Amino acid sequence: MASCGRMSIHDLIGEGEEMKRPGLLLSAAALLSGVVLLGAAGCGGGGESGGGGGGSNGSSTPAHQQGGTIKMALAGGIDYLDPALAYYQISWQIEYSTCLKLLNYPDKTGAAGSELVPDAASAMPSVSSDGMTYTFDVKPGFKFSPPSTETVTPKTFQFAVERDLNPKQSSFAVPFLGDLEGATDYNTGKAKSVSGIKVTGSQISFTLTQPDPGFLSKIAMPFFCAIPTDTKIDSHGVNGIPSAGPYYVASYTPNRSIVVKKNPNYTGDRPAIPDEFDYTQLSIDPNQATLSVDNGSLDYSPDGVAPAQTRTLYQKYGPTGTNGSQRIFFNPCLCVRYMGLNTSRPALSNPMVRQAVNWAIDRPGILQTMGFKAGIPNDKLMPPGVPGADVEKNIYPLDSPTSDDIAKAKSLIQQSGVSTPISAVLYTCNQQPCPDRTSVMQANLKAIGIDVQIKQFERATQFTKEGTKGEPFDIADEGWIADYPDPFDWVNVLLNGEHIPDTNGSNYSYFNNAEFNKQMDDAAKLSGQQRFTTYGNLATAIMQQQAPWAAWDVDNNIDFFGPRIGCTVYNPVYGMALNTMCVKS
Amino acid sequence: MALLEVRDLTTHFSTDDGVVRAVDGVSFEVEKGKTLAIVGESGSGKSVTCLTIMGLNTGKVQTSGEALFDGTDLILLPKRELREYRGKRISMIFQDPMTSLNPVHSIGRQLREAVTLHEGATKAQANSRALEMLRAVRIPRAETRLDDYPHQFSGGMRQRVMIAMALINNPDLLIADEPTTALDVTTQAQILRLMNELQRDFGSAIILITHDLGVVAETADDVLVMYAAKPAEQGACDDVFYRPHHPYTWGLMRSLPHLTAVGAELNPIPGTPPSLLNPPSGCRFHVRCPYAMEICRTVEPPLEPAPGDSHHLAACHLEEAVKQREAEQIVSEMMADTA
Amino acid sequence: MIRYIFRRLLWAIVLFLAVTIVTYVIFYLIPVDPARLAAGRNPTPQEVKNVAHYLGTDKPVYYQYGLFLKRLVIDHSLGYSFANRQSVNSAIFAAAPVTISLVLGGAILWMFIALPVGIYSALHPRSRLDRVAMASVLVGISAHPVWIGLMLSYIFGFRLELFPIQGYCNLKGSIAGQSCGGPIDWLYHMVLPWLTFAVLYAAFYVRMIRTNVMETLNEDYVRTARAKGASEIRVMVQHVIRNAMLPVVTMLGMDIAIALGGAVLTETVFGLPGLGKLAITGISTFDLPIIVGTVVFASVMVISFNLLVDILYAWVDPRIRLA
Repeated sequence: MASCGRMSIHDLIGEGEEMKRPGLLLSAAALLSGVVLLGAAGCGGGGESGGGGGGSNGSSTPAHQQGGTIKMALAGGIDYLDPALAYYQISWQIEYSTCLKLLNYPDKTGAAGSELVPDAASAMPSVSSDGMTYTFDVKPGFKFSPPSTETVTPKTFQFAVERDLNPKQSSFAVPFLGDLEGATDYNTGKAKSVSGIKVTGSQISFTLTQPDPGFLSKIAMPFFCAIPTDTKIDSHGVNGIPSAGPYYVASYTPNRSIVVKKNPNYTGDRPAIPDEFDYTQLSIDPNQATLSVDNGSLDYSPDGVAPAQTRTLYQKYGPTGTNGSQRIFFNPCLCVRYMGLNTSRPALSNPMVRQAVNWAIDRPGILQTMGFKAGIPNDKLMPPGVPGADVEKNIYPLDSPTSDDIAKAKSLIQQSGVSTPISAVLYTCNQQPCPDRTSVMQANLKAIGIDVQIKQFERATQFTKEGTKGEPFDIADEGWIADYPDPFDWVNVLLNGEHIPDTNGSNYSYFNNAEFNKQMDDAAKLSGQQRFTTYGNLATAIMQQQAPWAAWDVDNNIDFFGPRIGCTVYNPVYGMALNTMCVKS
Repeated sequence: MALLEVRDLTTHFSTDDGVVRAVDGVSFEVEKGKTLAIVGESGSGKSVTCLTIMGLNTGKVQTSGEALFDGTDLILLPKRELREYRGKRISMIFQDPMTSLNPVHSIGRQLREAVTLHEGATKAQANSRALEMLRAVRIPRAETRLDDYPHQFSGGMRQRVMIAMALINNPDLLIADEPTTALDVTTQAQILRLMNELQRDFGSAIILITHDLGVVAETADDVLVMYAAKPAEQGACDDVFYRPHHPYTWGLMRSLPHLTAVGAELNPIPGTPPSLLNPPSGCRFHVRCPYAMEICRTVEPPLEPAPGDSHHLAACHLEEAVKQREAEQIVSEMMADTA
Repeated sequence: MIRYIFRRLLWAIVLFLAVTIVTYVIFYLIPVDPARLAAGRNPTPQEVKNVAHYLGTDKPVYYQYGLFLKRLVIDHSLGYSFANRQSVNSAIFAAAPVTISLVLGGAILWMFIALPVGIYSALHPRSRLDRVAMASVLVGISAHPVWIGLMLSYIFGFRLELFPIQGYCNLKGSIAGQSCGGPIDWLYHMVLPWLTFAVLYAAFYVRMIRTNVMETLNEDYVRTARAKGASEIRVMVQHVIRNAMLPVVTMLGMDIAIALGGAVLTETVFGLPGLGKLAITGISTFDLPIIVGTVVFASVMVISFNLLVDILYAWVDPRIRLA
């Protein structure tokens, strides 16, 4: 099972990974800003090692070499390589090394790696006083990879955005451009161009219909990557589009292989250490991938670490492993697993009962069913890494609940006046570890007088049902990975009750609190550090007072490298940065 | 000297349940050009006797005694040498013509195989022999049928093919194991007539295994009646038919369907043949024998010649007078019936 | 004969329609909206609607099915994947050679094992080798192919480094990014998958061949052959084996046909990008066109192998020929 950031098509519904919310593809990692993942120090950086926090390989001053071919393999395949369509972590990881975007996250680990910096833009954009127009100045000199001979101009980005919005492209980027002026008209074929995009000289400006400080995070998504202006509009996706970043996809054989090579025309300053990445297989078995990386016949398989083997690998190749240099790294993803407590049904409609659930669950106990170092206990709405998460306060026990905690939970239920036993229906998926972990939850809640009845479904059926209004469940066993790292994508998207759809919703708590809805709407309009602080405090208040969730874990991304790999950089948004991997000399 | 002299032949099979004494001391002779009929119920050991002579038993077999064919003991003969007798000097045809021919080979191929296994004939030569034999067994339009497969023939025609195959190398001895049992009555008669004619033309001796005394009467020179792996009575056909000396033979004769007495009941021998794993003590027939005496339970009767006829042997404790009286009684009944 | 073939073809079409209709019906009985899964992000109902429109899943099932038939008959196209919008035709054409390599190679291997062992066991029942063979058959039938595959790959690939742990190389030419290709690399990479694939079937076939040969040995015509003076070898070759192989031919044809529809487990363990892997990915992502595509391929295989087996059978067994 993939860890949470590493989602692939396969995982979306798949076997082990239940986290995804549907549709979200997510990516992953979306962005984040702020925060700290300690971690991965890069080449030559100082290595903290691995335990919970970060991974860096080769701490002191190992001898590394420029160049080389990195042999890789994927277990779950790839969705698309066309930027208008790609939306999984694995394809975004490739795009992180191939794409030139207006803004990007630097090839750094920890907080520095989640702070937006100019990429094709010569500086951060200027924002109009009404907060509605962002103007970027495009640096000259960027060129596309062969066979294209184009140079990157502001028109390049205009074309990229318009291609995403073209109805014939059916791009998944459309929803992120809802606030762009003229986008909807263009997308529905009513306009010939997007009125909100203007190109003058070396400048491109985007005008929104309402202020959105999250716009910068959105425009940094790989959907808006530079592509040659002669790229075809094709809803099936175009493979092998030239790119203007440090690398480009030199060849792609669907279901078989991908070759990523250094872009000879790249003039930017992002690192580009290896000459080539060969994804030699796209459907490797994770057990086999682990063996292959172990014996060095592969260098890296981003989604291919077999969960059953992580303990052994950690003992051999962890930070204090018996095998010398560290080869396996655990880094928290931008994701949270939680129990969605359905506020619209009688069983858990009382906030005190929901708080009691938060006091009573055994977070480490539940986590234990997930595998070795599968994650870290968490009670917050937002995972570390999302800006504002550091402001959000820890309220509920991260260790197994003490007898005091249980007593507290019981007294909360007593104060609530709800008579026990309370019966509650829990929806989960039908593959491990879902059944195991929900039975721990069941036992935890039994102790405070909540009788949980577990119903298992095929994963896709589970979230479809949970997202349908009126579905008779009280607890949803869910998880969330953000599309882009902004607290809006956690707090407003998941818990704002103003627009809960009848079907396909993702507010599984059906949380709809007028006071908090308003606070969320207001927070969305803020920008800068104030935005993050406000969201952090808002999240704290929601969890403390209303507790629509009982969050319990932040998954770890687990990366395992072959013996040749000397250094790596874990970017908190995109995961391991391919372009920084080096081979020991 | 007889063509085939079998002396004290025994054949025992080892099975999971114990030793099955399928043939337990059988002796007989077959003269050149003559016919010996071996008669008995199913499981009496008549087929195994012949398969033993041919070396065709399968499973864990122990054999003793001798089977001198033209002076050579077939029992002791190594497999490889025995193969030169099989199909060449001794042939065998089986009970069920429906299953005795290989369904995936043409008739011609199977006939040719019988030839080429024993002589270096060309395909054309073997083919013309095959055709000749098919004509000899009166298969209509024989020349068009060599390429046909067994399923394209009726049961009687298949048995003709089997006979053709058996006689194709002009053997000295033909063993026919119930060759007509699986056929309808009309066909039975045709096949028997055919065999008689062919015996005349080819001069082969025949061992005819049957449970049908009627067939015996029509074809045999000598008769061996077997019961439970042992000979009960043996001798010249006339002797056995007109002076039967063994209650089992009487039983067989009484059980013949009486063609004239339509609607009359059959008179089968009561009871079933004994298990050869654990045969009864004394006379093996005593359990079913209406004449059984105390001695029959304990003492096995020796196979002894009838008074005045050293070639007519029977194994029975009954007094000679009783035997004669019963024999006359039965023979007169039979005569009355067939009159 | 023409009438026979015509009847068979008609029957094949009926079968084909039934299989695809059932696939469609089952797919839409599952309470999952494929559009939601393909909608790419946390979708609003409007976005799900747009994607449903793009995929055509907003139309009634019978309409979609009709469209599928029309595309198949007129454009010879199986449509495009929901999950990655690639042509299903090219996905299947790319995957088929992999599965064919696995299945045919595996079948040859398992027959090479099963024929001698099965015949020997039949000729020497209860011999030491027969007992060993029957015990291995039990193991072969009981062991899970994934376990066998992982074991083989761990021992011969990882530990002894005699063979690649996993992976596939093209028989003809290499694919960019894969440093291997050509018959030798292909063979080298296929050895362990073939073995894995063959173990299970070899076990079945040893048992089947043993039983058939033993039964045939008891046939009257075998006794006839011996009575004719044929040597044991001649009896075996001319009379026993050909007859004993008749049911084996049928089984072999069907097993190969079914396996061509996707040898899921072996392909998964060894990372072979074949039809089984394609089907599994399709199922786990609710990718209807891919699922239907693999179902179509599998049923065409089963139907045509059925026909092939019948023809072969008639050739081997004259009783069928004229019937």
